[in-house]
Amino acid sequence: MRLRGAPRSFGGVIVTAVLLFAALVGALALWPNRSYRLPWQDSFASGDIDGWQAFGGAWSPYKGGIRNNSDERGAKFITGSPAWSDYAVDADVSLLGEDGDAGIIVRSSDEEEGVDSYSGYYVGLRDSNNSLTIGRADHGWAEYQAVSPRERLLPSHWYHLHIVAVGCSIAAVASSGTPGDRTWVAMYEPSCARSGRIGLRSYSSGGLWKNIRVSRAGSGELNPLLAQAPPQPKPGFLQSEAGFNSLRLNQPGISSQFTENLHQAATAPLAPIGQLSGLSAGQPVTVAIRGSVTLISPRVYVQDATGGATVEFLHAPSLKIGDEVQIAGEVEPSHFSAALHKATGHVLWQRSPAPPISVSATQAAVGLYDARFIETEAEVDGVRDSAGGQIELLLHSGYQHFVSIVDSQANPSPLRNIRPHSRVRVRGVCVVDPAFTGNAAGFAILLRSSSDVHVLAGPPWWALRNLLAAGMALPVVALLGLFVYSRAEHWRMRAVLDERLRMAREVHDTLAQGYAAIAFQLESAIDREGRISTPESVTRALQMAERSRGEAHLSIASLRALHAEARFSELLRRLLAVQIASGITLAIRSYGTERRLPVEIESNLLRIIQECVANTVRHAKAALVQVELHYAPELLSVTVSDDGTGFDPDAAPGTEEGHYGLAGMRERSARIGADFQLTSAPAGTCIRVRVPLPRSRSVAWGYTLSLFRRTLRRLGGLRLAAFGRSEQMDAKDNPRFDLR
Amino acid sequence: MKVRSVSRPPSHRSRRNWTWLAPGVAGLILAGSWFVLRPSLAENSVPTIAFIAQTTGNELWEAAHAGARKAALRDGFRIYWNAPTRSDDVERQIELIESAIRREDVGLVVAPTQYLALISPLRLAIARHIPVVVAGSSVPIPAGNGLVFVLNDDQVMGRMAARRVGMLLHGSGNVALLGNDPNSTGNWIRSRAFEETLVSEFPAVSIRERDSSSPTFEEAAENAEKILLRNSQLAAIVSLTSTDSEGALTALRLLHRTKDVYLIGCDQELDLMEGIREGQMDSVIAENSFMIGQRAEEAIAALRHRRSVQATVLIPPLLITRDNIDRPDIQQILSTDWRGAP
Repeated sequence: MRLRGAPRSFGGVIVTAVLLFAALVGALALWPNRSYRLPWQDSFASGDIDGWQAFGGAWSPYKGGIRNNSDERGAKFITGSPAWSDYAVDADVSLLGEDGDAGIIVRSSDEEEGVDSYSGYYVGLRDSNNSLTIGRADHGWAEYQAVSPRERLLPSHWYHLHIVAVGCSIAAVASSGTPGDRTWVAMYEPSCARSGRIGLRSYSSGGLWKNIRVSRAGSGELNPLLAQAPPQPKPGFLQSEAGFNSLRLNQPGISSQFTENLHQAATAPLAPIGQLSGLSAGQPVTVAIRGSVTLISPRVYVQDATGGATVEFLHAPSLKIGDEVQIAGEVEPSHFSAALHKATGHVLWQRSPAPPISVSATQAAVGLYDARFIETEAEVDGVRDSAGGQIELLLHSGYQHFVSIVDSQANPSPLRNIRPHSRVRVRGVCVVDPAFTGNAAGFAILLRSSSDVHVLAGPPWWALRNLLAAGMALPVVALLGLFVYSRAEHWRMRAVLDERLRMAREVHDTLAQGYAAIAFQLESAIDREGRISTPESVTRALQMAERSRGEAHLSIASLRALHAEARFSELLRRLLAVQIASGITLAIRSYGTERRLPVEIESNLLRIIQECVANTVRHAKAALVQVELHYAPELLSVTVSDDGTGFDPDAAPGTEEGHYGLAGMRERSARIGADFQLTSAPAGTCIRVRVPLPRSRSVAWGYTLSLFRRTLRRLGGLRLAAFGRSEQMDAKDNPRFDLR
Repeated sequence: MKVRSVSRPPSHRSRRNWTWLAPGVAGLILAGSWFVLRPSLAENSVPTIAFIAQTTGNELWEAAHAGARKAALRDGFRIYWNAPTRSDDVERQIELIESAIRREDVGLVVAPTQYLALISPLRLAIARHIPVVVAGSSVPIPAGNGLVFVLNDDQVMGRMAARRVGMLLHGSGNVALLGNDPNSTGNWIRSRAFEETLVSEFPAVSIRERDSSSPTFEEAAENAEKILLRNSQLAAIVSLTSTDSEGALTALRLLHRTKDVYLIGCDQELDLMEGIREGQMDSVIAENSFMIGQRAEEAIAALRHRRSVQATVLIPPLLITRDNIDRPDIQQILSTDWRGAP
């Protein structure tokens, strides 16, 4: 059973599928994500950080907010909808350290790891030059404005940022909570980024963010801010003398703490961390070390160029990954590294975290890199929750099996989405402590956050999931193939039937009618006794038999000619040469670019011209017969003329008298959508047939055009006036590819 | 009398129903899809040159970004710009190069962080027929076959530093040479040219201290402070990297010795310009990174269009002092305006 209105050809199915696909893509692209409808608010208070994407840094929920515990420059944490355009962002922001900045990105897109590797606008609190800054990032930074607040910016102090992006104006106000301490900045960019997500960003200092809200905004929200700070129309670059002077006003200068730290670092006797494991374990030894913090949770790890150690503080200072610290404590040496107990120390300065050492799993397993920050590549076996509330990524590389462990607070959900058998690169602190390995593997890797796992490649093609998918897809492909095959078979049968139909029509038009007329004449010639009563009828029957024989001959000749790879004018020349009697001159001329015609048109034109020439030879007493073919891009005009005696078409005998010539020509013309015009005068007769041609010059194009028009017609019953044709003409213009 | 008989094909009865809307709706949907996809398609339609700088932590490369972008705007290219946050993060730089190869960017400009480690990724790019320009400092791959070097003229830089010291000390005094980096050929060439020039032109100037380069400003300050504490008779410090120059400037400030020790740095950094303006350091010999970026982009364009291009281009450095710092050609290389607008 076929559904009413359903497409009836394979082409229609394809076009319908393409349109449905386009509709689906368009709808999905335009449909707003339910999770990001405005107003929107973070859910850090419940520890939920799904939907956020980290680009560097070590992000984890912390006391109802989110913390980037890394000094990495330009670490970003992005969320929201790319379709958000005019909106306001409210957030509480705190810097974790000095000499850096932390703030909010609006209208963000095209993000990747790197300092300014995103497109968007950034409003940040910067304590290195004590300013609220606003600017444009597009894989490079253009600062539009930096304004010093009335009171000096302090680490670990909450500031409220209110940012409004409407049209091409971005404005912001920062308030410290102290009455009257509010700082405004604003910018205007003519060719601006008009939409994008939001993000949290810090540079060197790390940061804390909470109470992030996004709401729709308009000029009502923007104008009060612009009234306080006229928007800067272009960025300022401060390398000139004037710029230098303005910069110097904001520069806090070198702090006494820095000076103290520097002197202390330059004069303190320090032990290389790599040598601590070689100290005697007999009695406690107190040493001082200096190194960079590589991990904070579940333990603090510090490393220098010679090795790494774990540190247990008596009173832990506020640490971030990358901090350069100086620590003194009791050494507990172990086989591969050491631990410092009862440690005291302080942060010397903040640094961008050190890059990892690339090692193989086997190198890591021998213990040489214990307590050091490494990276290695491996294949994922699975993910599991550990008893300690951590997430463990089960990995192997060659024969080495190990786990990568991330704290459940450190955004573990992306790890759960990694498919088994994926190839990954993991970065973290290598540990051989059985507390982490459980002696089930030589080592484990403690991750800073889930962004330390980078998927290099998905599962191979033979993975179970892919095989199942292939198993499910195979029947669909087979059905599709079967469908295509059945359609092709249908087309082939249709072509055979069309050809049979055409031949049947040919027989009906010539032989069958001729036999009927002969039979009629012979019946009328014989009386009831079976004697021939009217010999004239017999004579007419004989004439008719002769004409039918001639018709059959012409049909066979034209059918043979149609299979020849010759030009139409050449076909005509061959066919008409046998019809022309002696004493008659035949002239065939062709104008325009001659080309192969569709079979239906070619065969009907041949038969029309044959009939014309036959009539001329029989009746016109002509000395010259001219056939002219005029090829235009979309039209073929055929003119057959003679210099004979002419005749009166209205008085000419018709089908009722057994003459089918003129009627047959008109029928054939109508069949191919052609105009048929007959003009006759005493000086001769002229027949003109104007048949529309497909514009195409190639079979493929003809097929495509026919398919397209047919599909459009079925979709909407359209009149193809735009194509300059009537519907009737289109139905006939390329019957070779008629798929009905 | 002419008699005319004309017959025309019959026309079909016209149909009219709601389905005429279907193509219009489909068109609207396609237009909507196009509108959504247009930005990424438009972006992808502009051929992209990846410029992977040494680090984003130094303003030196912002001018290179500007130079490359200015030339790219003229030549119809888009510049993809990124770099590691630390100048010693070789892995990250290799990742960025591999990303550019995967994206099939039309050209790759790399300012190498390391002399040897980038050989394989750069050779991979060349094998994929991506034109490659090595900018700033060299790597040991022969030029040609799609590879061009656009380098700072480190030989000239070393000579300029030596002559500046010789002139300031009037041909006699003790000098500390900081920031030696065996991983960088450019640094090695600078150091050697400096020492050779001193020996040949200022034999009475002696190098009392040599120190290797420091990865961080704080470490550089610490090392400089140690050297200054050890050498009370030091007359000048020459630093071969901007990080070590910053460290030395900080140490001089803290020890209040900016008046009696000349500091000559190599490679620009905005904080050092502050030192020059305040008279706390003498000068910086700066790479003309704007020109390096511009010539690198032009080399990519030439390689892409199969035009002949010089295999190695050496860009001479510029001496920045308190007297010439506001000169336009100096300001151009100090600018952090990476947008490259003319």
